[in-house]
Amino acid sequence: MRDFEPSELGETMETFTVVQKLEDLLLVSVPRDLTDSDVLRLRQRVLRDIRRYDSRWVLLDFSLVDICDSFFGRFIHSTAQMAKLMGADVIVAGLQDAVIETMVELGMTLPNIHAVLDLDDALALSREYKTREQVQAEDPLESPDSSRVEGESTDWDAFADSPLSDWTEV
Amino acid sequence: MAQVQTSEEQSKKEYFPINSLVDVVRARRRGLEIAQEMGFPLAEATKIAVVISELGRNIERYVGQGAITVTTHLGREKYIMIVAQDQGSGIPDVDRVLVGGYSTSGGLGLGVSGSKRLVDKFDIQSIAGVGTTVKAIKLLR
Amino acid sequence: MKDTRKTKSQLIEELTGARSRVAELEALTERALLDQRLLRVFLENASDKVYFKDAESRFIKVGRSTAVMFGQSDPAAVVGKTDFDFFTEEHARPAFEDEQEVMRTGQPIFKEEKETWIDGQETWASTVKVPLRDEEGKIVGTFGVSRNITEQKRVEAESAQLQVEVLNAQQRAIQDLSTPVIPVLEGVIVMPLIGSIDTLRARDIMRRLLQGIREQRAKVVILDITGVPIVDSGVATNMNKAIQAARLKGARTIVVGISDAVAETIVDLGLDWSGIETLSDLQTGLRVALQGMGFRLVRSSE
Repeated sequence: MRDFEPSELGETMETFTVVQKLEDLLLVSVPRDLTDSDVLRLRQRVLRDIRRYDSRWVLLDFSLVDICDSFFGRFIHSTAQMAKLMGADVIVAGLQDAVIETMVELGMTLPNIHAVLDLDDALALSREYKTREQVQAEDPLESPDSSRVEGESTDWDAFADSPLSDWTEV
Repeated sequence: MAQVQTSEEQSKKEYFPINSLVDVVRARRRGLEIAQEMGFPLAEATKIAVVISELGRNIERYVGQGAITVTTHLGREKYIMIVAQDQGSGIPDVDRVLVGGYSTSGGLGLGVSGSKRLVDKFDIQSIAGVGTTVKAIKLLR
Repeated sequence: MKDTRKTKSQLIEELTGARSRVAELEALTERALLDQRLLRVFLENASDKVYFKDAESRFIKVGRSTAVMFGQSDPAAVVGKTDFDFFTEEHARPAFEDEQEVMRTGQPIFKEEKETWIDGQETWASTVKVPLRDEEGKIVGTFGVSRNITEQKRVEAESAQLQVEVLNAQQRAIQDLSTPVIPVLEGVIVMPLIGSIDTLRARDIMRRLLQGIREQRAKVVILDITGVPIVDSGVATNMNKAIQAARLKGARTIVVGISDAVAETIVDLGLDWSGIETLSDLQTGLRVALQGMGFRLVRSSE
């Protein structure tokens, strides 16, 4: 079933389902190459589905992406910002080794975003959080484990431009 | 594809006109291939593809048309050179762009200053009203 | 009137003298002919290239081997020619200069030289050139012997190439040994770093780290830097990058083995390692890693 039309890239975009519900996750299979208009439509779709399924997580699966430039970085950044506003945290999965090496060199460290090896681990993470949150709900006196990735509000725009050494680990 | 060969050294050049994002994607894909064919390990070839992508996107977004050439040099010194050219209105403050953190529409600064970190030699020549040429060289070790 | 008749004894004396003179000359001639014959045999059969040249480096006489080398069936055909008729400037010029020097200094020259032929071939020769003197000892030309060592040179080059390959393989083996990734229990890997870390090695470390996390599905990486003597800002930055990379691959990193000296350096350099998890040693690191994953170490009582 094709619910995300191919963009002007045509030849490079494969037609498959890009956004799917998976338990309390919204799974986004990020296509290999994205244009600006692809990004707009994808984001709209994601936000619509977070609302529709009341998703706790947006899972961005990058296993198809082998070239990840600052444009992709901004895509992740803006999607995460918007999803957060709608109550969903972002997990990034499937980043390829070569892509990670480049991201790290560019200072794209994606703080405040969970990163896991693959979809299995993403599911495991979401289930772990669900258990934790259930326990908390049942016993509110338990010392709160941060169930959501909280903290002081981050200057998201600064992420795009500041050097690696300024960042501290979450 | 132009081929220039002397007895000791060999240079090959591939030319990519940049008029749309499809062109940028094509150029960076081919760049990845070329770099790997030269012998760059995947991670380094990826960096080269990213540089092509960043420079190509800048041309597409701010000028609309330009060109990127990828040259492989396999003489005593082995390196790949990317040259991105456009005839746009130029970058007013090249030094600030190189330092990073300078961004007119949320992108230019990171793209160019980031690219600098991915290669060994980097140069921007920009003349107001005439155009911009960006050169990046990555050595094969 | 003078008496021109010689006495009998005078005649006998003259005759004896003449005979012995003739005998002398005959002996000399025989010796000379023998020398000539020996020289001819030598020139005809010597496998090394032999040649005589005049003061302008023109061939006066050459052995058969030399003639054959120059593609001539008759050594006489080489006479009057110079190196420039057979070799390119690249070889002919320095060869000429050598001969000039030999004649000027009176000293021989020994060398290995590359011969570049007009037809494009290249050979190697081991050559000796000595001054050629006349009966008065005046230098009038040069005499040379050269041996083809092209095969030896090829073997030498191959051996050198082999050495380089062995060295490279050894280096890679050392790298493998010094940057292993050791899987311990359940998704925890240990990466002990040993030795100095330059940019190239840092790249290799990053690659192995990501590969190790992927292959072992590691959730925790223990980076043991006990064996890293110098941590400067370059090393620290590279380590930071590795830690960020590990995180993007889904693994948390614990750095262990920071010595006093390294701790001082980090602070003195103003590096911010407050966000990096550090513990004292490998044992502690392992325990914390496993506990963090929900394991408890219990001694089984027997």
